[in-house]
Amino acid sequence: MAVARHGVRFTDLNPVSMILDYSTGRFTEDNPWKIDPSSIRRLRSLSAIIEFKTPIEKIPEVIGSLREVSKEIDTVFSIGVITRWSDGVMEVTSYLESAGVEPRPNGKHNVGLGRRGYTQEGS
Amino acid sequence: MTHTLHREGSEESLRDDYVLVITGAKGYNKKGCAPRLREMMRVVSKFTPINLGCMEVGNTGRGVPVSEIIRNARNSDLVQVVFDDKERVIEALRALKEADQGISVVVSCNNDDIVEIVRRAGVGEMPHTSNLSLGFMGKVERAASEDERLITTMCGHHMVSKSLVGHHVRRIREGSTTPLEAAIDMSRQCTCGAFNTVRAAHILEELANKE
Repeated sequence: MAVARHGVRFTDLNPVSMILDYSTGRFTEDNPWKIDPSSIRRLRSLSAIIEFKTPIEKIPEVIGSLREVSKEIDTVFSIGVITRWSDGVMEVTSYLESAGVEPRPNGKHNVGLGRRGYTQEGS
Repeated sequence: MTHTLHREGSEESLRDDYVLVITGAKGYNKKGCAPRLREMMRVVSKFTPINLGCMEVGNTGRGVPVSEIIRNARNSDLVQVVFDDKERVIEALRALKEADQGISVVVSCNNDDIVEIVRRAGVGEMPHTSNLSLGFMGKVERAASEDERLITTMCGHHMVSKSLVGHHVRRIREGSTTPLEAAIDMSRQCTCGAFNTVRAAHILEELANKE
């Protein structure tokens, strides 16, 4: 709900997205399993990833909202951001700085070897 | 996937920690990709990784032979390959590029190293995209301690518990086991194959020597 207020685009086919009303971030009964929101709240999961896209300019305000809502969350959650590169640097760098966030020194880097059409799918 | 993203430690501590994640992309090239995954595993296994495997098939850290892992790989698998040496990562990536299987490869490592790695491997000028860890929020006091997380975050599915870290540190101090034996024992908990046994042994030794 905290990030939905910023108009983020939730990622389709993500298991958490599939039970969300994208406009509000609330659980919805309009999900593939027709589970009602009160039943969803009783579920327990070892892993749940909220995945969304946002314009790069909105990163500081989205992180600000996550900071605020973290005070009400009764567990630990991790945060990650995926970025493109441009002119040898990661595009999010200055936006993270303005949000007062220093990324960890290590990350996951897609080296770009994947291609469409090498297999039965997408060929 | 974020399971190799939140590995913790200083830049220096992470210099012997490189994880390759190789997998097909649903809707693009996942269906029918198993023979390509097998070929890519054959290629990288020549560069003596510390750990290699995937969730459903098993990994070398749990004692499964490489030949069995390769033979049983399926379209849906997410392959992890762990190295402790940058030069071998560069050689493995160069060989993967030459093998030209068209399947995605993601490298977890220090951010400062990745441009050098892709350029020297001949893969490109810079990565296509990067996933950065911005840390934890919420009730962080409920998480394992910083020292314990050096080990537990090397299994992104959290199959290595903080209790096991404490147990092995005590046993090393008592002289009942060595850091490497303890690290090998911990590696058996990790089902996907992302655990770095060599780095774990170094960390365990440091923790055992701490006051």
